[in-house]
Formats: sequence, C-alpha cells, structure tokens
Amino acid sequence: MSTQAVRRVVLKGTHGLHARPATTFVQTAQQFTSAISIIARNEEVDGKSIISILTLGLGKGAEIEIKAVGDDADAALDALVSLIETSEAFA
Amino acid sequence: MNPKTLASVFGNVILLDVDAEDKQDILAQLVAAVCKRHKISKRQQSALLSKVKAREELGSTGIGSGAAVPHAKISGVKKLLGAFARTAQPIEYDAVDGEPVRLFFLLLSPEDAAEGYLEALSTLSRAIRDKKFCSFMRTAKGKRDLLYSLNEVVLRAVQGG
Repeated sequence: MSTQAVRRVVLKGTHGLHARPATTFVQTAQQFTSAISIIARNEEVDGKSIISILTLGLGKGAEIEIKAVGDDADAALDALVSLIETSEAFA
Repeated sequence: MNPKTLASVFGNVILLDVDAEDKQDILAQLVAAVCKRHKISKRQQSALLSKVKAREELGSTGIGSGAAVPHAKISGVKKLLGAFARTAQPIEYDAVDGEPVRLFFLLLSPEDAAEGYLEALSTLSRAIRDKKFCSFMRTAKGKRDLLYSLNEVVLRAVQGG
C-alpha cells in the first residue's frame, strides 16, 4: 500500500546543498521506487533530479522537508535523513 | 544571483564549437581560456586544472540535459569567474542521465565565497532546466548572437522556472 511521509532536516554542512551532496542525495533517492521531493522556501522540487535540487540554492543552516510517496516511503526517508546527517558529502 | 550577473560571468569567456577529444581535453581548454582572459599565471592555471579534475573524480558535474558545471575554488580573486564552452561534438562525461555533454559552464569561485557560488549554481541550474535555454545555447550562431541574447535568455529561463 502506498504511503506518504515527510521529515524535516537542517543542513548543517559548511557548504550547503551544492553539486556533490545533491548528486549523492539523488543517487540514494533513486534506489527507492517512491516519488521523492524536497520542499524548501515554499518550493517543491523533484528529489531525483540534481538540476532541480540545485535550483533551490540551499546554503548552510537551510531547513528542508523531504517528502516520499510510495511503497518504500519510510525506508527512503530513513536512508536520506541518515545520509544528510552522516555522509561526508554533507559535512 | 541576478541573472544579469550570471550572464556577464559567462559572457566574459565564450568558446564556440570547439574540438575537444574528451572530458580532460575540454576541461583543459576551459581553464586555459579563463586564465588567459584574466591573466592568471601558468602555474596557477595548472593547479586550477588539477582542482577541477579532482572535483570531477568525486562525481561528474554533468547534471543532465547535455550540460555540465565543472567548478573549483580559486585563490587570489575577489569575484566569481566563469567560462562557457560549446563543443562541436557531444562528449562522454559520465553525466547523471548518461547523456553526452555539449554545454560546459565552468565556475571558479573565491575561496571564501560559498554563498555566491551556491547562488550562481542555483541560477544556472534554473536556466539549464529550461529546454529553451539549452536549445538556444546549442544553436546560437556566433559569439555576438549569444552575448546579445544571453541576458534575456537567462532571465526568461530563471523567471519561468
């Protein structure tokens, strides 16, 4: 059964969501069948598209919401939140 | 970032329909062109090229739609430097969508300007996401045509996105 879930995360890394973390994010998001999106500054973009994520221009301290809709929504959010909090690309 | 500023960053150095053999070759040509334009020493040029290549090793900057945004930080400059290149033939670039790349936007940012770089990347990505922008960049006939319309095209793409 399809579910929808949302989680809020703060970007703590020095450089925000620039090209490399955006790439890592997309690579992880693509491992899941759920539709993933990032919501920030009242804008929602496709979380599986690097170009779309980069358009947000999210710097250090930016608050984002990650939304997943689909069968593996919760697992996807677990993986993505953990990526942002622990991956070197987001440091 | 103001679309006009972005257009002027790339309008400064434009290489059209260049012959490039591969990824390494086009990166070298872009860095050489921007260094020549801004009178950057040969020594710094080679250090810069290594940085740009090292960044590609971490993951391709081919962000899709046949465009790539190679970048690095550069010491000793106060503002963002850029160069645009269009290759005669598409180049294999390990892009995220697997498509070869013809449009290259090199961005060099001052060491301490993370925000400016992010803003530039954001504006540029908005432009690249716009199909009309990419098609204009692929088909503009000459430097003058390109320069003449760059402001307008970036502006429209950014506002439309």
